Amino acid sequence: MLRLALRYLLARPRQSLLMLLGVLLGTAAFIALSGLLLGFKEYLVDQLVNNSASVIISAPREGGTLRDPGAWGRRLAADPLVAATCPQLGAPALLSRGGATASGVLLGCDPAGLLRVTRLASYATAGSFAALRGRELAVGDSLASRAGLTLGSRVRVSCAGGASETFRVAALFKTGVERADSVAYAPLGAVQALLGRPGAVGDIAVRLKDYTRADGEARAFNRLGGCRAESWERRNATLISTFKAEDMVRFLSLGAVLLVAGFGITNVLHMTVVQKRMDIAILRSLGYRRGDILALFLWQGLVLGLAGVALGCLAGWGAGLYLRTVSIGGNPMGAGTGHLAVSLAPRIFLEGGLFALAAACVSTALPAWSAARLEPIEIIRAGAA
Amino acid sequence: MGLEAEGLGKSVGDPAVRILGGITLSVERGEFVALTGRSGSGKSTLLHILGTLDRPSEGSLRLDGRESSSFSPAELDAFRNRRLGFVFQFHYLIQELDALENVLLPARRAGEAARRRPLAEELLGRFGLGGKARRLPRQLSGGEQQRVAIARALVMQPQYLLADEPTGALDSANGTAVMDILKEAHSRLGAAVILATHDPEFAAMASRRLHLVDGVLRGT
Ligand SMILES: Nc1ncnc2c1ncn2[C@@H]1O[C@H](COP(=O)(O)OP(=O)(O)OP(=O)(O)O)[C@@H](O)[C@H]1O
Ligand SMILES: [Mg+2]
Repeated sequence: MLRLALRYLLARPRQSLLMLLGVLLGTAAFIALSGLLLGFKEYLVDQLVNNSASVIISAPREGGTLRDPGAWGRRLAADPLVAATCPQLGAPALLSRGGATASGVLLGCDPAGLLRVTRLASYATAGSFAALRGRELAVGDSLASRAGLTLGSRVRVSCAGGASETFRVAALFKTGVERADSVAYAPLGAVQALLGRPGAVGDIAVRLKDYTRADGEARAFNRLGGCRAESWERRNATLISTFKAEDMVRFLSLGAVLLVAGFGITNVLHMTVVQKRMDIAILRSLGYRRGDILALFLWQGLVLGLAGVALGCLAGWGAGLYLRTVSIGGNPMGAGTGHLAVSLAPRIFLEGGLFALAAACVSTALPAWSAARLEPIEIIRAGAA
Repeated sequence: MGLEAEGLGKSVGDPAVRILGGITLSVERGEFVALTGRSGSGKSTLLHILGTLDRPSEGSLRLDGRESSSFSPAELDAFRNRRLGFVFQFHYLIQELDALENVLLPARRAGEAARRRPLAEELLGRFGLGGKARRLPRQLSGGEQQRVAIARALVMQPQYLLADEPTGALDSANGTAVMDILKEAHSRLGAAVILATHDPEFAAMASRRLHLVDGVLRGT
């Protein structure tokens, strides 16, 4: 019946093309939209996971210091899930140079440790993170531009309480995330000295070997007491909850397009059934079975569906590749590459393809069923009259 | 063996109107039977019932010795496919398929398209369509289309050929050509032919004549 189904489709090229186009557009739109949304999500997760620690262990009270950081260090070093750690001490600070003053966060850390915990080093635009020592700073792009800093600048850093000290800018970095770019990193010792709290550690940034286990690990740390441990997921809970809505958005949009395409298929095939009533009666009189008639029309839907999905995947892929070339300048989404992040994961094509194919089959089922149920004798008698 | 009807009747509508009643007949293999009667006398209805396209509302029909009501739908479809050939007044070819493909339709259902292709080509050749096998129906004349339809009815070498006024829509030259083909099919293939016709001349060619008056057989 496939042969005859193809002939029917080819005999009405315009209608067939329209039905095909419906499936094609539905699939392609889904793939492009999913690519954008998932690409953005992957980008964000990547940023969240790699630009900050998997788990941050802080003092129980905001702004306090961690009790016995040495014990924590030994405990974490023995933990098989932990990949790297970095003790930190942070405080709000004002950076001033000449007439310009900008506020940001001064974060003391072990530069080598920090580079193992986050990916910050890869965002360096000038100088080197790893080489930070003494009273040297690595300054985020936003903070640097507000304070008018360039590599090698000398800058006055003042903290609450009045303590201030001159630092030299030894590195600049840009992550694209405003909050992260308003931080100035300095060696832990220098910050402890500035704040007058030698040996104090505010929190410990921990990188896990497997970032998906951060939640459980944070809970385990919390059970030990004397600290407040938060996973990267907890710290970004609101952002992550929006990801959940995103799957719904994708499938709703796919559903909407395919509903329209599906109605098109149903309509056109219903018309075909009416036009081909005589053919159906003749085939039945020649010994073709109800199932054959069903197959004759199901094939039409399946062929349209398969062709539409195949072309739709190609079109979606092309659209994705094109979107990747779209430059979005300074927008945070564009950090790193400066282009839209578009995912072309096989999963998207699989979901879109299967869903569109199913829609094509479902919208074919009704006309096919009505064709199979036709009584040949009634058609033949009506035709002879 | 053969087609045997006993007390066959058909009522339609509500209130029921009997359009066929008390039909008792038997058509043996190899017979050529003419079915005559005025318009509306029930010829088509009887042919449809004998051809299992329609169900009788009373009486019994035996197909090759087996009660038709005991056939499953699949068995009826197979019977129509292999044992029966229909020719209708209008040729009813599938417009998207060329002449040869139309002829091969029953064979394709039976899974014998390749095997029966030489026969299909031979039939078309014998019916004067040798050079037109690859033409679409709309590129053929009415008479040519009817000959294609007859070739289609014969391609499975059926035991029964049911023809419902096959010449009705044709001029006399084409009508005579179709009649010659039916006679040849009858003699060469040995098929039993039941031919419904208005034309007394064609009816006279039959070996036996059945006459319907208002749904009842007269003067068998
Ligand atoms: N489904 C039906 N409902 C009502 N009446 C019907 C039905 N089927 C057939 N009839 C009637 O039964 C009668 C016989 O019809 P049939 O088509 O068998 O006649 P016919 O002998 O083939 O006529 P013709 O020579 O014009 O083809 C007609 O009067 C027709 O109107
Ligand atoms: Mg009739």
